[in-house]
Amino acid sequence: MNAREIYDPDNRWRLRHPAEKAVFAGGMLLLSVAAPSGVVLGVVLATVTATTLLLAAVSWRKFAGGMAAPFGFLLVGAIPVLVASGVNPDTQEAEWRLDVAAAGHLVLRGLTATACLVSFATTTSLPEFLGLLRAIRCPEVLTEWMLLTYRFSQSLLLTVASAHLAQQLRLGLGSPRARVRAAGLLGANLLPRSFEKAKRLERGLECRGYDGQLRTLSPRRRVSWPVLGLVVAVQILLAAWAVAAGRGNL
Amino acid sequence: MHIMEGYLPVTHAVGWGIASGTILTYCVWSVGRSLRSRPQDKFLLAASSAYMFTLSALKLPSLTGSCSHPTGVGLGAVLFGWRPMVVSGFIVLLFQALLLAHGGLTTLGANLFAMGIAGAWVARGVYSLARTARLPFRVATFLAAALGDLATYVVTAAQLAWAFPDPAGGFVASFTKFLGVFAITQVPLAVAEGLLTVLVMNALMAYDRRELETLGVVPQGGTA
Repeated sequence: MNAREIYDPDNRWRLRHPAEKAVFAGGMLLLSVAAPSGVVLGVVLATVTATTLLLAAVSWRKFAGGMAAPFGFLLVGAIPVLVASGVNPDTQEAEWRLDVAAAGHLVLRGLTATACLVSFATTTSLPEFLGLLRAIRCPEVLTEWMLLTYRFSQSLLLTVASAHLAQQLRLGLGSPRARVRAAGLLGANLLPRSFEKAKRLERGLECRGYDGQLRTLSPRRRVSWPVLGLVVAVQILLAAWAVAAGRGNL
Repeated sequence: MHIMEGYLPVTHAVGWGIASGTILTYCVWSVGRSLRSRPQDKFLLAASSAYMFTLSALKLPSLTGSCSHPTGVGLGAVLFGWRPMVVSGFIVLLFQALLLAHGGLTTLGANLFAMGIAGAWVARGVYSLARTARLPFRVATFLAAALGDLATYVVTAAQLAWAFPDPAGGFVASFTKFLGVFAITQVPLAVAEGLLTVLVMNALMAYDRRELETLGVVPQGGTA
């Protein structure tokens, strides 16, 4: 993993089967986008946040870091929904009004859904997720492509960091013009370097009898059926509450 | 630029998911078949996806529940064609959601349609047209990357306008509103992406011309 990933390697769920985490986050995500009630959304948000921070013991810095940027985008993105404008077809006059309820609901829904995504991303590493995809028989071409992309992106990010440092040490970032030029050179040289690494890896694998498949061992973990049952039961209760309130469309 | 998690209503999320999922399934099948005869291309495609992931992680907020960044789709579409770029776009968007909480899983279908499908189609189409019209290789590359990038943002604006039509002006007013706000960041970004793509192509021509010849981007032994 690299420093930009929000996965927390010290979380208490790191040894849990990824299917349990996927069902928890996925179910809550479905509830958050489908339940129109603000109260249900609030309960889902509180449940996901408390579970991730208290039970999974994800670092609050990682969690808040994952939520910060999407939250900012959501707030700004609610502005076009908050300000409804147009031409009145009856009077042919321009008019505008504030739709606080719609914008507020949109922000709450986005925040709740983002919390579900961050919960999964902070507790599940990408290799674990790829293992889960293999288990559900996702096409091999796709999982191998993902695995290679992940490995190459790690290497590429290291190249970016070292090239950036080299540019800085050669005073290549001294002025705005130099910074633009440095960024252009860096971007332009990344892909050829990435291709070179890809070809070296391919040659190395060919020498080891590569037949088009990348087989890897992954740790075997058992699904805890009681935990899975509890998660599903809580989600069914929340869904039933939303429906019973007469506002759900689940 | 991606639509954030939870931003789209559930019906829109499902609809875009089905539309993009169908095209993605075809592309995975098609690319998988060609990789059986040329397995070495898998590494180049993955390297290109990793490059796209690195590029598209450079985020700029925009006033539309979204954010902006170079996509790298134009470059990939010129090098590999549109089908691999659909798969590549899917992987990049999934990684962004799962590694950086950028974009989302419920908006993955809509984002893939805008970036991986519409962006790649436009980029490849513009490149083919420009080459048919005998425009220089660098001009064709610039146009493909810049217009592919713009197409992504126009489609995203349409998706958002469809999901949130203006109560008074309907789809058209909302589309104009979203499009106008996008233009502030997207037009300069599209030009920047076009220029960056030309720089990358120059670097590839200088250091890795044989690869471009193998991919059929430039003629064997000739000039572009």
